[in-house]
Amino acid sequence: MELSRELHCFSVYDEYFVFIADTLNLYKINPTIAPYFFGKSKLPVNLIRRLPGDIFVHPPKNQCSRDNQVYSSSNSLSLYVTYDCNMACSYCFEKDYHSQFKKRSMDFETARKAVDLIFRISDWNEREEIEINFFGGEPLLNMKVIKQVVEYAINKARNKNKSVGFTISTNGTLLNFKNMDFLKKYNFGILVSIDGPEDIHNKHRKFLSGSGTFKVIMDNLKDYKDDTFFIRATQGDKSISMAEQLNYLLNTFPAASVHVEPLFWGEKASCIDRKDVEKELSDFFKAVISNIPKQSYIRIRGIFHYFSILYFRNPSYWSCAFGKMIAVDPDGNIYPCQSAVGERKYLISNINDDYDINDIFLKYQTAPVQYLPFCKNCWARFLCAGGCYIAKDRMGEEIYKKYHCEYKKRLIEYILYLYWMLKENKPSDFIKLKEKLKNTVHRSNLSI
Amino acid sequence: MENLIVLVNGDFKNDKDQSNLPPPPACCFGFVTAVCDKLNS
Repeated sequence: MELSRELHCFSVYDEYFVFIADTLNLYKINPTIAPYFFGKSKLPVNLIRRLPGDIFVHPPKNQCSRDNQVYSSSNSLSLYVTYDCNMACSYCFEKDYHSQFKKRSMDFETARKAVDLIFRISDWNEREEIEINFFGGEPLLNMKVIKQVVEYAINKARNKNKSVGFTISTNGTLLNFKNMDFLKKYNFGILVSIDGPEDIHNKHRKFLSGSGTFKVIMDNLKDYKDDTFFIRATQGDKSISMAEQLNYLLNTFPAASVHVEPLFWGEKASCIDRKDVEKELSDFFKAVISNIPKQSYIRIRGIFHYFSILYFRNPSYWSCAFGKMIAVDPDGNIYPCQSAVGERKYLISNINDDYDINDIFLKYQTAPVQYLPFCKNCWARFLCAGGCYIAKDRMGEEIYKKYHCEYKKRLIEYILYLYWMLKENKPSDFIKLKEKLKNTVHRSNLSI
Repeated sequence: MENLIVLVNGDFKNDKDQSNLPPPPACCFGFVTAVCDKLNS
């Protein structure tokens, strides 16, 4: 009998580690014994039993079942309130998939039916918290419907004794005082895309006229240096490193959560060549570590997510939100996530059709990660959980594996290192991290 | 052996069967967690 098939030994910054896939146990090992582990994928049972820490193997879950449907479903609604946008970013996927819908916007009647649906789903999966995300296009171009939806959803939640939270993904150009006032009044989580210093940002993120958007966005945000924002940077350009982008964002937005993501969109569009991954990540994590003393806690989202899995050793069975949430487009079409909107092959139903909630989640139900042929033998499966369904589908599994998986696995190794480094060298920061994790994870378990 | 191999993430005692807990959020935008933070603050 083998308790774990996936032993993984790795090194980061000359420190050596062993990670056990099934238990999520991370071990720091002395370099003198590293040669014993390197290149091995299995550990003998007698050695596993002698390792410190509890040994458990996660119980298998059924591949596809109604229980899994309910369990993995979320009360998350993404309202695609408009296809219209006032910008033309160089790497925007909208122009590839949504050009035929240009300028179409959602009316309130369609939005109201979508809100009714997400409340019905919350009755179905017996959860009390609902999240509504406004997406587009540029959603602030349809502010009228956003305001109507907020008012309607709050009243509905009050009547049903549930809670509702709002988020918006915006390019930031329309975050004027009036709009900000409304969003802050209703405690919106606001995701703004900023790619870094002005010259880099303006190179890719332009108005339809071709002029850069940086100054307008920064002028809008200058009075809001609190934790209102979640800033996302896309590394779409080789002229700047992820580390430089991170440093810029953390210094410019002293309280916001930040996220830096390299552009992976097919082989030719990959921003990071395979040979560059190590340098990018090495520099990036040096930047992460150097910024820790300046922060009240780690505000880098991707890292925080993995830390919660490691700390609680609570595996991530399902990857992204694809098939576990709903996204509704301006015509009332229902899709399995916001990235799928506009592609007919992903269409589930329409808000005006006669449909069953079971069917919504059945169509794209995926098995837990340990059953996916693509992932089941990967050592990182319960951390990564399979990645983005849409990206995998569009890029093709081979290209995805070649670029995205290789990057992600090395990223996770650095995060495992960072977890150890914080605990070992910065105990006061680790204590702060633990408190943050305890407050965050139990809450987030309820909401998705 | 204790000095050669040290368990790093052993702080939280995982003494319950976690298999029935909903999964942690793993949205590709990492946004959901941020929102939960905000709701929780």
